[in-house]
Amino acid sequence: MSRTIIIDPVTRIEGHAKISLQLNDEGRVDQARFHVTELRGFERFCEGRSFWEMPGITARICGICPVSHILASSKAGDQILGVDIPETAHVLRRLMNWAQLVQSHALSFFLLSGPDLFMGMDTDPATRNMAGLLASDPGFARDGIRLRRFGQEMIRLLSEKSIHGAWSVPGGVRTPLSEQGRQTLLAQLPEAFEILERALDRHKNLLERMGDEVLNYGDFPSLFMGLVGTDGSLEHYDGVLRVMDSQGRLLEDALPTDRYADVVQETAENWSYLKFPHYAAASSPREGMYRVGPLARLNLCDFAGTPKADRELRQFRRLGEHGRPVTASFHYHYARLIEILFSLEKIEETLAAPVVTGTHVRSNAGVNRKRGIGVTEAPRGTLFHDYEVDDNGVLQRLNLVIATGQNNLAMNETILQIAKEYVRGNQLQEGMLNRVEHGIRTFDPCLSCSTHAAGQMPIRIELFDGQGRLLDAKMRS
Amino acid sequence: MQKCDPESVLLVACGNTLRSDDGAGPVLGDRLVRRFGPGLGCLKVHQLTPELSLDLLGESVKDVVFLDVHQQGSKGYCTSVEILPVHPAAPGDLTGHHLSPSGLLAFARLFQQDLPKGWLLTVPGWSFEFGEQLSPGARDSLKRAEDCFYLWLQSRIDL
Repeated sequence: MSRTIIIDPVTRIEGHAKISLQLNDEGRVDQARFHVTELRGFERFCEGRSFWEMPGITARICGICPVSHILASSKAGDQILGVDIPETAHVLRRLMNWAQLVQSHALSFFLLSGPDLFMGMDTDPATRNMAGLLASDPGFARDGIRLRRFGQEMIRLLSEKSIHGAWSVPGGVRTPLSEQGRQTLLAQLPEAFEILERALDRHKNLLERMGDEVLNYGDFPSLFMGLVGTDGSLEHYDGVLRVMDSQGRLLEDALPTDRYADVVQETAENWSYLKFPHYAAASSPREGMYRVGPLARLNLCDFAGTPKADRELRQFRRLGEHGRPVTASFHYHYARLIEILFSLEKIEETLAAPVVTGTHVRSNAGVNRKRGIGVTEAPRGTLFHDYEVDDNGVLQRLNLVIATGQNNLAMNETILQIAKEYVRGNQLQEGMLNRVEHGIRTFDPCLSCSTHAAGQMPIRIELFDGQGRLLDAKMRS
Repeated sequence: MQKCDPESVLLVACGNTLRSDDGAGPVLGDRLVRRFGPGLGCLKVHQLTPELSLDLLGESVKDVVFLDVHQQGSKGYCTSVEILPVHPAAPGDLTGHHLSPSGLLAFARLFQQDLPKGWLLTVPGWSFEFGEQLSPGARDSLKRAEDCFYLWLQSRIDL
């Protein structure tokens, strides 16, 4: 008798989703679906707005990664203006993006995934949360808070607000960085490096006893996509697109970002509001499944470009079999830490350059082009803002391709793999449920962004037989 | 009684000014700073997140007053303005990455045992739809909230 297990909603992620597992007659999982159940429709209601407003409007999609939307939207606006923004503005936007990576990755690793990783997947959910982490591992929790605080403080210093600061605009940024601000940030960097070193040590120790999770939490062949620098370096703000397969072969290289639609095809399913982007040249969506984000970026780049991050990158690459890309989604966690390290090094390097406190930060122009495509690497992966405007700069069409959406097929595959390994019999085991959820958390999905939806946090799980009869249910809040 | 001056008080004003009465906290924060002087520190935030705990621990901060709105008629709140003490939360109350005032105080205790005293000053709200205007009821409450804060400050200070 076939059955369906539903986990609704998934917790400690950004947004609202549920998971359903279809069991076959032998009681084995043969299908997994990650349902995203809310829609806000930014792509539709932004039609008719001026492109000048878009950084401020699209920032409201999310309270965790508004910076990514502000930057991608501003870059699309730069193209519509047809200007090269001032060098200082360019440098400040990059700083803002690295700060965003630091704060977002710190939240994901320390506070959202930390309870699972360091308290254990089978720990009672009543204590496996931030409060439990505070009690059991206060030093680790303190580190997470301080590191996130560093990123947030940097964003606040640049834009006067840590969330939703409409600072980056088409043509540049509104305000420069003061010398005092530069000194404040430089003074905080040593502690951030120390925290990161401790976190890397903790994570490496953890990996030694997480062999099963590494194998079963989404380890499968897929494509990888993201930005790299024109020299092949790790890149988060500019550069060109690269697509790689799980053998390490480059399917696309040095592709200009304004040709993203040549390689990204979006499809929809009637059971989720989250779209299913895949590599357009593949024979099917499943064959074209690709991953974006920290894991993909570290697979795609030839080198990081900073000393400490390059040392870590060499260790990271030993996790791939026979020199091939790292395919285990569990290693998103490690990749996040390496990206924080890289970001701290780049922040330190950039703050030392005189250009960072320059005062010419904005180029002025009108509408010179009818289309603008802004691409950045958000913490969760590649983010595309594609705008078409009329002569007055009023939006006629827009498309937002969000990182979490691009990981959608891979998240479904991850859930399927975990469920096949851990779902047993008719009873819903807490450890199994949390492993399924943690498989999702490895991607750090932002459903608020990907569907532009608001979030909820309780969890409900239902088990149905093949006739739709409820066999078992669990709920926690 | 421990004495303090406005400069030893930190306001943490919570809310979204694009959601009508939800923005009453930040609006109240601005009004209090105008009335009692810029020495009164005020943080305006959409929600309370763990890293804000570090802001509560400034050397000069003796009292933290959270400014927020409560839904009119919601359980546990009176129908008017009120200011109540807040204590660090028990662990079971910390479940998300946005926190209650007591949850934020619990995080602050990670860094320092000797915490500033916590207070929660709430005003009732009626409308939480999109919009930058406060409802008439919330607007009326702000004046009472100012007076309430003044009385509280008097109890803490020789003005």
